[in-house]
Amino acid sequence: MTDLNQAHHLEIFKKLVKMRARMIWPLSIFLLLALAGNLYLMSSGASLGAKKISPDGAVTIALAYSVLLIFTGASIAGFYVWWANKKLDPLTEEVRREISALKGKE
Amino acid sequence: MVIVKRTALWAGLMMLVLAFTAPALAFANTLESEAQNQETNIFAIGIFLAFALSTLGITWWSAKRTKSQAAFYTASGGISPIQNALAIAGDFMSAATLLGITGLMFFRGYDGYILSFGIIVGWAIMLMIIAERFRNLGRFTFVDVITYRLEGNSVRVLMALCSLVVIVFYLIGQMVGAGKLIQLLFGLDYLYSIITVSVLMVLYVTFGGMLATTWVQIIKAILLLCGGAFISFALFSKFGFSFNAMMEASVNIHPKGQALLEPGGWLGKSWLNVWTVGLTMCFGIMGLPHILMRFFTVKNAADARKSVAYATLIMSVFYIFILVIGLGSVAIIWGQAEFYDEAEKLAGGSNMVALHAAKALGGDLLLGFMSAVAFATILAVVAGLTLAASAAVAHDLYALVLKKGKPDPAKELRLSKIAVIVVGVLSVVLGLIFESQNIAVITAFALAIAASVNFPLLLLSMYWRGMTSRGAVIGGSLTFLFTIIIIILSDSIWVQVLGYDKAIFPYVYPTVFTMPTGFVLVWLFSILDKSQNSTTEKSRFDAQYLRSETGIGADEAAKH
Repeated sequence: MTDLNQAHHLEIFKKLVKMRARMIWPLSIFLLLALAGNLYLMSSGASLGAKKISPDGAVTIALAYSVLLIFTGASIAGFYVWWANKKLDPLTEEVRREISALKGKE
Repeated sequence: MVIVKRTALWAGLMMLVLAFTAPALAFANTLESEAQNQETNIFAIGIFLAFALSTLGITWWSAKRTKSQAAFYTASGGISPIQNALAIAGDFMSAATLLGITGLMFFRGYDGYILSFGIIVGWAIMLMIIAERFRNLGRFTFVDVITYRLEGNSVRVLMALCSLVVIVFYLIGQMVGAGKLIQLLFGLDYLYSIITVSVLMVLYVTFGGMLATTWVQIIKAILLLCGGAFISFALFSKFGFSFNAMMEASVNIHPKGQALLEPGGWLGKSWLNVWTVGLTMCFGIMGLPHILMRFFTVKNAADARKSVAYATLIMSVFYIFILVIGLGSVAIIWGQAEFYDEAEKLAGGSNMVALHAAKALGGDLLLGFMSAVAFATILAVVAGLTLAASAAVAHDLYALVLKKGKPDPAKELRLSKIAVIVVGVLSVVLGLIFESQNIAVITAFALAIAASVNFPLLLLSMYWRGMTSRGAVIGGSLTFLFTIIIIILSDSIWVQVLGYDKAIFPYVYPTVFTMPTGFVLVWLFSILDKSQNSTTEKSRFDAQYLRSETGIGADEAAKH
């Protein structure tokens, strides 16, 4: 068990943690800021949100922004799962192999 | 053998009640069809009966595969990512979403859409920061995850109680909504309506466990997506597939005019109002026990990630339908005499917009279909809630706290089934007690606790080494109390129930204050904790972190 307790010091594990963290935190913060933008358009920035996106239509900036926000959320979810399947899973597998080898030595 | 006999006895009793309610449905139909605005629709009853029969068939099929606790709580991890995605999305494509948001947007305009986009952002974030780790750390419930490295029973008891409070309040909201909706759509008496819902939900869950509960949700999600797609498509086709033309038509007919598409129609442009609703939607979902429990029904963290991602995509499509139906149906329904009663109010109330749109676009057949789907939606959601409540009682409280993690498996399974039946009875009683209460407030309460207590504890337990058991218990309980006090001081209780003139807390959701409080209090009482336990708990963080990132050890645990 001592080896498993030391496993978090493995270089490859640190690499995995770093890789994931570099993806999930910036994307999450970006999404929160995008949400904050929509909340702004509904409150303090409501006069901007109420403007039409084009003079011949009825659609407002706030409405268009919300649709775009849903589209962005879905795209990020799609992108993340694609990226994680492709990059994260193989690396995780490698980490698991290396750790079970450590356990084997014990 | 005793269990088999007892469950058979219960099955018999349930069937008796069901047999009793089914003729009542037909009886009420003839009796009340004149009194109701909404005539009972024969297609609705036919489609609903087909749904009920096929889901009971699935329950019977699932029952043979549901012999252990792992099967009962999590379908033994045997659900595929796509199936789980449909089930997760199904939990959010509820009657409240379909009927509530469209109704809100129909009358108040654009502001109602905050209930949709906040949720999508929340799901995308949950996918990245919670889903995989959550799957790697727990077995059956979210209490498993939070208490992974924490000592002592008090934190388990507190979290199980928080789960139960959230579930029960969510359930009350659904039951009251269900009773009123079925009364309206099927002409069935309120009491019979909630009894029917309760009986079916108890049957699904006791016999079929998570497997049946998931399939009920999947079938309903597919039906609802088809219905939503058809209505949106038919609406669009009326305006030459131009969103702009549809919005212009709606704006021209609505008394609000262009303001229908501008912010401010519901939340009055007040930043606190807007932020508190937005944050509740975004973070409340991350603390809902019945949703989180679905992450355990797939085989590993990678599949949990896929389920959540696909679910987010499905929900996004559905929320676009909601936008089209909510704002677009103004153009075809507003002011049309056939959808209004003598008092010139929308027939059946503000929740009927989506169903009127169905009728306007597809006649009685589509109306019947959508009504049956609305009924099915409620059933699928309450079944998931009941299962989560049963897990909180039998797994969190009995197996982990009372039996210190070493329960007799047969006893635990029996207790979880008894808990289901108790929840079934309780839901009818609470449905009656809360019949005339404002259900939006009850649901707000559930989401506020989820966002303010459950979510901060979950996030901190996963990412912060310093969180200790004492910090979680004291910080969590104080936040819980604070949230309740604020809700009591808000308009819905202080003015409407207690009869004071003016609410001390002027907003519906307390989240903008209580969620940060949750984080601060748990942090504060954790760093003040210098006990022996706290040192042990912190020393376990590295191993927990390794497991949460890689899943090492998770597969073995899930197989139990």
